[in-house]
This record gives sequence, structure tokens and C-alpha cells, in this order.
Amino acid sequence: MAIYNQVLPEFRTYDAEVVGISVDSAWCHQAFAETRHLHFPLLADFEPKGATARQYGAYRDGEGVCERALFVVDRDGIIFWSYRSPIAVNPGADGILDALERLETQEKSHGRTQSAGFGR
Amino acid sequence: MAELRVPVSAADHTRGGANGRVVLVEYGDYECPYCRLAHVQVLQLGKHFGDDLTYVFRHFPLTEIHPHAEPAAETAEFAGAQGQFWDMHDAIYAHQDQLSLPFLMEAARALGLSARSLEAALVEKIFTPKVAQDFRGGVRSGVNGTPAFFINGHRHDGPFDYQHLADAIQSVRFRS
Repeated sequence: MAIYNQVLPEFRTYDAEVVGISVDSAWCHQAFAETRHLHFPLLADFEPKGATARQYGAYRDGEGVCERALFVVDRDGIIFWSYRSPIAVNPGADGILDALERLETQEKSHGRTQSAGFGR
Repeated sequence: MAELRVPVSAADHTRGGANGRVVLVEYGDYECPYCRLAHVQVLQLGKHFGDDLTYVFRHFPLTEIHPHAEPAAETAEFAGAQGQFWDMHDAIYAHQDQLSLPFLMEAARALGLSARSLEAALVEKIFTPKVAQDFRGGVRSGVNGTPAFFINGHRHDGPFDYQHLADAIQSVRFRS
């Protein structure tokens, strides 16, 4: 989280917002966000527990916690890129930035195609 | 596995063997207690591997949680511009518990550097771009916390105590 907090300005250059999500409660999140000075929201997948994480295929049944998983979601709400890290390894921000770069390139090329078309 | 995206160059601060068989790159933060512990391990690794090990330190200040990390990194660069990067680096880690602007000024004076010039360099943000460049390169290489180590370009995901680092270095030492 410290990394994503620090890289936040760079994420925003891609018009991207960051949210963290875990099965911990809102109060727990609030305390964590305050001590770490987080500048992005943490969402509580608390009740029903893990319902959102399950939909993303990112819930660990045995432990009852979320995976260390990353998702880059595009403007239409479609998952553009995802990565599941080994539980002991912080996945860092490199994969996210690479994905945002590719997404931006893709959006730009689509934009050109559309503006070149007739009657749209 | 994450790979170092910014190759070691003349812009880096290196110590140990000039052309070591193994290159250990650390991304670190001067206010991070784990980095201080790692600093001691790294000095031991330097003794053990001698000229076979080239060590590079790059800045990765987590300024949101460590208010002194950025001025400390810029102070090390200030000293580095005058050929004393490692003296300042060692001084900062040796006195991490006292880290503050007055301490950095005093550390500069102790190395025979001008505290007034240091103050000006910090105010004018002379070394901010260099530190930011290290940080950005680290992010793109998959630095996921501090300290983060890369051994011959591959991120070391294991623990960073002496034995784990030494074993990881040894495992690539004689690989061509």
C-alpha cells in the first residue's frame, strides 16, 4: 500500500484511480489508512464477507482473506489486466503501470478509428 | 519475476569491486528501519565477497511515511557530487535515530562540506530530479517495498538477512 500511495500521482497521469479492497471492516481500514497516510480509498468487502473478492476470483477460502491480486479496470468496467501474486510477495506497481500504458495506447488507437468512421 | 529495468551506469553510486561477478542493486530509504538493518548486512557481504561483488544504492524514499527520507537522500547526493556519497550514506544509517535537518547539516560539516551549500541545494531542489529518477526506475522495475534488492538484475524476493542474501549471491557468483 505504501508503494501505491507513493506512486499515486503517476497513476493519475493515466487518469486512473486506485482503490484497495479487503475483507477487513471499515473501522479497521480507517485506522490503517490514517497511520499510513493513504490518499486513496480502502473498500471493506466485509458483509457478506468476500462477496466482491469471490466475483473477481480473488478469495482464499482456506484463510478467509483476499488474494494479493491486482486488477486494472477500463472505463467500461472491463478487466483489462490482472495479476495474482504469491501471497508472501508484494506485487509492486510495475505491472500496473505497464498495463495502464498499454491501455492508453489502445484507447488512443481506437479513438482514431472511431473519429475516422462515418455516421457515428 | 521482476527485473531491473534501469541498467547500472556511471550515474550510479557503486562500492566494492569495480566489475564484480555479481551486481547487487539496492533500492533504499534512509529513514526505513529495515534498510538500516540491511545496510549492516550489505557491509558484511562486501567483506565476504570482496571484489566479486559490486554494490549499487539507489534512492526509494517513501516520503508519505518517512518525512526525512527525501532530504536525507538529497543530502547523500549533495555529498556524492563532491565525491563523498558513501561517507554520507554510512553516516546517515549509523545515526538513523537522529535523522533531522540539523543532523544532516551537522553530518555535512563533519565531512568538511558546507552546510550552507547543502541548505541551498535542498531549498533549490538541486538533487530532487536525481532522487525522483531513481524512484521512478525502481517502481518500473517492480520495487515493492524497502529495501528491495536486485541480484544480477533479478529481484530478490526472499528475506534480506545476511545468510539469505549471501546464498542468493553465491548461487549466481560462478554462473557465466
